[in-house]
Amino acid sequence: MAMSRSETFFRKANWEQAQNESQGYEATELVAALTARAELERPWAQVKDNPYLQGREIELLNALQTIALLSGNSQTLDVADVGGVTDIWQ
Amino acid sequence: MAVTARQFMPFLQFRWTIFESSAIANSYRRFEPEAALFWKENNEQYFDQVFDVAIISCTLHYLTEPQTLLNFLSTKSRYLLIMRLPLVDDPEDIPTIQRPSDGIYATVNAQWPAWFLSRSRFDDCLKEVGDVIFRWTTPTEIWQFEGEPIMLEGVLLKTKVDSGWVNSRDIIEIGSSDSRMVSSEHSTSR
Repeated sequence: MAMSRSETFFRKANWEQAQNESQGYEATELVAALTARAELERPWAQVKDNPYLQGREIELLNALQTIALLSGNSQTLDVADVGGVTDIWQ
Repeated sequence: MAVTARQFMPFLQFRWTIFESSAIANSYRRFEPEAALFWKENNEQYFDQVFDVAIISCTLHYLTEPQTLLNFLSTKSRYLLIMRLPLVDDPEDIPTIQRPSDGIYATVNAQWPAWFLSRSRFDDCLKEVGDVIFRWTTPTEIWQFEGEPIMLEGVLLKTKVDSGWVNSRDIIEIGSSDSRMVSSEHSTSR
């Protein structure tokens, strides 16, 4: 989940209270807004002109390069990008 | 992330599958042809292969039981790349509600439960799932919590898959920047 840079956090007594007092991750309005933004980002595979990478992108490249080196002669990496935030794992 | 990887690592091919909530996966699937990405729902049945790496970016702290996901993925991927994690020096995980103050999430008044994870508990969790290769902090991503800056962190691990520790299929059948390195541990499998 991509995050806004400005966040506010409110401590709760327990996880159940935090769940009960918030909308959660699959609110209809949120999914619609994210989908609309995805439309604006098309085409998805477009290479950026800006050469300045974000910190998280540099960290990603560092880690993937390390994995590639440790994996020897592998020319393909199978990536599972686990971005979802639901309780289906529980 | 996939676009960045493909742009700057052209010597590698990436088969990139995004596991998301069902609502997002169903909504985004339309972009698959142009993005050369695949969207699947967060469900164990869709992990029908062993991956080279599972990227878990800004996700673990939104789960009721983060270790459940880590334990599962450690049997389905050779490496775990955990990014953008809020850790605190507290003996217990701290439950909160997160409210974005601007951007797309604020426009729809989004809010959701989120943990600030105990560093000591998280480190114990990591010992269960693999060997730490290296860890880092992300100075470009800092959250404020009760007046304290929390710099998000990351860690790369080698899991037990292919290391001789476990047979992942057996487990499933039975139970089924500015990067700044801050520490380094051994990288070889046992």
